Amino acid sequence: MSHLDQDDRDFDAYLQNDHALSDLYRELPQEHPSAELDRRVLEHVGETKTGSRLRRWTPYFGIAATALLAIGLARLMPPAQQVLPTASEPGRSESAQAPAPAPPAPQTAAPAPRTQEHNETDSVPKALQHLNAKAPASTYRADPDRAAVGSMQALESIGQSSASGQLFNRQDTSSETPDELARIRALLASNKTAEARTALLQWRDSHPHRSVPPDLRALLETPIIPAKPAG
Amino acid sequence: MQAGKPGYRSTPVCLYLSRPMESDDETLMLRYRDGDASAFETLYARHKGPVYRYLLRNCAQVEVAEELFQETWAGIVKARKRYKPTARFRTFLFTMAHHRLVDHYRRRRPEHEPHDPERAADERQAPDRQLDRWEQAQALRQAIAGLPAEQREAFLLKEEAGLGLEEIAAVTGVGSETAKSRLRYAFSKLKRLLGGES
Repeated sequence: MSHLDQDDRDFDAYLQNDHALSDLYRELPQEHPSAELDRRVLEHVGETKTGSRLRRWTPYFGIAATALLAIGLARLMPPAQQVLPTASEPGRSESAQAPAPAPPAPQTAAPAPRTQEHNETDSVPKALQHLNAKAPASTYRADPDRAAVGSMQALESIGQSSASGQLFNRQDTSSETPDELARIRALLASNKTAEARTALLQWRDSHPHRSVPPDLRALLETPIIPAKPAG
Repeated sequence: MQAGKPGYRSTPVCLYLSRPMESDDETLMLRYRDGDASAFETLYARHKGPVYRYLLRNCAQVEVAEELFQETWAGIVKARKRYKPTARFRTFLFTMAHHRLVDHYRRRRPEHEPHDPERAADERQAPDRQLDRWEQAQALRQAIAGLPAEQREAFLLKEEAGLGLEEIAAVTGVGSETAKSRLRYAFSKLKRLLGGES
């Protein structure tokens, strides 16, 4: 019984790290992993770390790529969709909302809107300015008749040195000719034949390269009957 | 208790707690889980010796021990994402090493039966032979190698890993009474081999 008690006491002492067996065990040679083994283990950790770092950055790479793509697409979009209206520039909001890239310009106020548009062109990135310039140019080239005559007044107000300005003015001034002819037709309709004829002659003199419309040609052939003095 | 001895007992608990600047294993493992590789290096430097000796003295083959050692740390690396400090890191680490050891035993049966430690001790305890301290240590190593695998593992987990009975039970996946029984058998045999030294 006492032998069992002694064993229990020894074992309890051993569990408390207070036994000669533990001391003797600590005197055993201390084997350690070799440097090569250390290197292999730590290398494995390094490889795993690199892999996890790549995985960690993958979403950020995706976001950056998406952002670059969005910016690239935004730069290629028409300027009308890029320029947002601001409170300090009320005039721009209307033009910015215009959907068509080459809408017909207002016929009565030729110089001012073009100048404003020119300023808008300055506000967009340079990469987009060629898109702005191409639309009106192609529009005007499609109408060679109107390009033949220019209004000096409009040229002066915009700037004669600009070739693109001439193209803009051709559209604006040529739009006056139908009005003038319409006024002549209105005079004719109201039996003011003499006034109509005089106006048509003036129109012909001021538009030497244009032919008189067929419906008005008879007016030029009409003899002018002087009005009889009253009484 | 002597300083500079193997295993974890060279750092008494009171000294360990009195060094607040030194991160504990669990904090280091959490830091490693969150991507701090230097925390792993600290853990590795702290535990590599005990883990290596635990494996080497269990399987008694350097090549196998090195392979299992590498697999153990690779397992730690792989399992870092699911690590939770519910137990001591040391328990977690030696559980990993134990599993590698069990896998090894399953893959390969021992080529030879472990020699009878009592018979070996009788041979060494011949009256005409006076064992000095170094020889006693060598005899102990051979006696440990001759223990049944389960008792040897319990003994090494106690001596190398510094685990208590409950932790030995958790690592080896048995009840605490079983773990205590294994450890007690190992202790009794080794004590007898060493001539009843106490």
